[in-house]
Amino acid sequence: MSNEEIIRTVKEYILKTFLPGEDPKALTESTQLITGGVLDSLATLELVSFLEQQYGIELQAHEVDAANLGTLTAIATLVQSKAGAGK
Amino acid sequence: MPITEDRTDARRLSWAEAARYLSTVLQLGLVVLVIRQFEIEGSAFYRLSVLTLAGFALHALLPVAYRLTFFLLLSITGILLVMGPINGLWILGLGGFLLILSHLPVRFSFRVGIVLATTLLLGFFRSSLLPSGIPAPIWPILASMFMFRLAIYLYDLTHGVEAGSPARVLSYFFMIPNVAFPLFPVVDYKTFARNYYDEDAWRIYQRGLQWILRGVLHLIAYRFVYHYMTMDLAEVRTGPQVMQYIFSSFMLYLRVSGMYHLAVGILHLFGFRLPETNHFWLFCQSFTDLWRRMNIYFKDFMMKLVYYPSFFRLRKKGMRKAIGLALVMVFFVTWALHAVQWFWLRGELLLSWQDGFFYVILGAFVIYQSLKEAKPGRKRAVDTGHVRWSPRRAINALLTMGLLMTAWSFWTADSVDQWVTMFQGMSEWPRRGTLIVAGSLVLYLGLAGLPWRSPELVEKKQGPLLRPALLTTGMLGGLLIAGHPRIYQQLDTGGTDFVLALKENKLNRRDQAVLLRGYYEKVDNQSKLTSQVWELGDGATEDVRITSTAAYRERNDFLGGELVPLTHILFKDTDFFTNRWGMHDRDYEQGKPDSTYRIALVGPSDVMGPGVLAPETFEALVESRLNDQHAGHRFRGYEILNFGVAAYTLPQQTAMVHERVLGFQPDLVIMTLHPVSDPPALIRYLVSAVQRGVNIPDPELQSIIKQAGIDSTMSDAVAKRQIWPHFEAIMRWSVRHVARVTRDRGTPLALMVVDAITESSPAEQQLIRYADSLGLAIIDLRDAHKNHDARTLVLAENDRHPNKLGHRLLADALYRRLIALGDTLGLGLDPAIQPSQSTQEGK
Repeated sequence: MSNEEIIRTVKEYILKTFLPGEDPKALTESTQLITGGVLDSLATLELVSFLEQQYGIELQAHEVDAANLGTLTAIATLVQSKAGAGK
Repeated sequence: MPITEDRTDARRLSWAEAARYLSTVLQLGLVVLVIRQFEIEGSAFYRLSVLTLAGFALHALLPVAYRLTFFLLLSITGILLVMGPINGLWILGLGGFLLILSHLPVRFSFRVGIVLATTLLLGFFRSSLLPSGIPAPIWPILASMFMFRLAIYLYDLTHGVEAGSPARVLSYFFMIPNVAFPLFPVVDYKTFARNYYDEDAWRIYQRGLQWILRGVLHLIAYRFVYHYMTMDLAEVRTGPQVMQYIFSSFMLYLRVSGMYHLAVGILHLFGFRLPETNHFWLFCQSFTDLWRRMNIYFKDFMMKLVYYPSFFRLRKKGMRKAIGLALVMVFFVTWALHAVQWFWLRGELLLSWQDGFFYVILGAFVIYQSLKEAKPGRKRAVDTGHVRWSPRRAINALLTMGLLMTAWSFWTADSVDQWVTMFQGMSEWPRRGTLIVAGSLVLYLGLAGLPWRSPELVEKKQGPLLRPALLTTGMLGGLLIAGHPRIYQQLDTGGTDFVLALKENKLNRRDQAVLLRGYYEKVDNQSKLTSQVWELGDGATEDVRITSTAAYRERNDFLGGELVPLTHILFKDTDFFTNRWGMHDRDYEQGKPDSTYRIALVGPSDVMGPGVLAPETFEALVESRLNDQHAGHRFRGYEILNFGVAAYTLPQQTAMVHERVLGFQPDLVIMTLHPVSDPPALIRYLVSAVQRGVNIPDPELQSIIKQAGIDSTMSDAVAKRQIWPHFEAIMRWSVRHVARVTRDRGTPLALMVVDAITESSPAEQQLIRYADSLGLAIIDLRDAHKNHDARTLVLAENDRHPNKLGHRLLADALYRRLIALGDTLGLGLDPAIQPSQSTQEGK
């Protein structure tokens, strides 16, 4: 799967679950999801759960931060690295 | 654009960059002037701000590759500058040692064990259970640098984060603003490293300046709350006052918010684009929203080290159970860390059920709301800010903040008894107070309903830097103008006092009473954020208490205590003698010599004169001057007898006049009105006297106490509350009683007003008017320190007693007033002598 596919899927999930009614163009690849207040702690855990189920990966506690989940691009990179590592 | 080119070559600034550089330096220069003018966070922070200005000016011109090392050197310089070389080297040495332990080439868990064991040992040193020779002042700063950040650092190392260069690691721990703030935001290491110059430098700097300005404004607003809104629990009588107490207790958080904005703003100036520490925390929508707005760095710290690890370990039990249990862990650890942090700050663990109960309540609210939000199928509604004003948002904020503030007021109350009793006031709603509360609520709802969005989303829409630069410059300039004496002295006295209250870094009267108590008894000061007294460190404790020396003894009567005759001790690094009558004064015969005008001066420690020699006290200086300039005109000589004793409230001065003063046949008695006679101190004294069961010396005073309905079986809280409304009557009794007794002997009484380098209170003003109505001479010395920097007139930052210069100024003022009142008081002064020269050392 490509980065673009991951970004598209995750973006759709976030818009549907956390930003109902929001203009999809407002959520870009570089929008700050955690520090920008789109994802609070609960939402972040829900996202983690989604990613694990969607891509068959397993995240660790220390990976749940703005560096890895802060933007759609970062999420895609994380998923790729986890999937590539076979986790 | 982020700076990535020319990493080692010297940079040449373009014209645009040169303009931005100068603009930033100018704004920072204005910041330093504002910090100085408004005494923001004391002299140490001012020195640090000057260093920051100079450091920034150089740092911004350096190639990027050298900046981090420069920042580190600047930070080390800051530590040595603020703490002094010895204390500074202790901080650097101990901190460096902890870092070495963190990098020992052993298994990680063993390394953590060694660090913990070392920390425990340091804890023994901090509590003085083991001797160490480590200076006490370093502990709060060392702890604020390492307590949380070392945990984060070790956590990151264990999870594969690269430590980075020594310059980065050391900069992270010793970062420059930290040395001025014992309370410091918990900066995350990964964020610190990742956000370094990750955006256009000038935008980072400008945001830093805006946050510094915001910090300054928060601290000025804090002073307004601190001086004008905080109340003693015992004086809360009505519903509006209950609201005021609850609101003001919470709003003291402005201090933390202000300091954190300052700290992180300064870090921005050196390229660290760190997130906001606090964000519109007055408008929390829910208890879960609270964590996104208040002390955000601490929230992130707890999420990283406690919440997520706990959740991931527990998630097999199910999402909601894992969330609930993880949150319980968070609040338990928060409570524990708060107690440990207090230990490092004050040297004793803060383990009170009041503290624990607060975290239980707060935790319960957060857990309840989190679990509600985590319900499967619940439609999440993140506030996107599309709706301009929302009643739902406003009501949510009002309810959340109402509950939070109430819990907060409980947490910070000096006494749970008094806090509970306070709510009796809810049955009384006077018209004026009710209208103010109603108006405030309407205003709050109006503001709370607005979409206070996250700073990241707002910032993306910002354009050129000129507008924020102009706005910041304008506001800083406005502050400087408003704070200039030539401007605010145009206002009336009330207006001038108001500006001075916002401008000067001083304790409010309530904390002065705590500090004054701390001079004379061990104060169990767990008043935490509501008091600034704890920040004065160990100076306000045992080593400066006259009452714990051989020169003082307690008495189990109304007087409460006295100076011991014929003692000689070293007190506050100065010889302190008492004569055969227990006065800090030269010797006198009890019988008044012929043709001598004798003045008896009673009062608290400002009269007694700790920290200066007896001949250097203001009364001794005046005595000397009177003899030099007026002896032989009508009287052969003048004497001023110093009956001052530490902490003597007005009632005690009355008792002293009865017991001792009149036996010296004075021609004039002067009583002293001083903050120690303010309600908190005076009431504390009287309640203590009643509880000790001592004889109350006068029927009139007995009647007032009976009217108050207090007795020795009552708790402190209830007794203080009941007697509070009567304190004015007690102060009037003190003065009226002495006036009657002295008048019967044909001796005039004067009331001397000494402000102890602080502001006046309504109680003080009323008593002066009352004394005037009794025909007493008023000797007002409150302008004695006019045109002088108050900080140069006291013994130390944590000891507000006048020093030598302070006494000289008081002497000048007292002498001038005695000249003016000479005929009224029958002083027999030579009218040819004018009060032009200042006093020299006397007796």
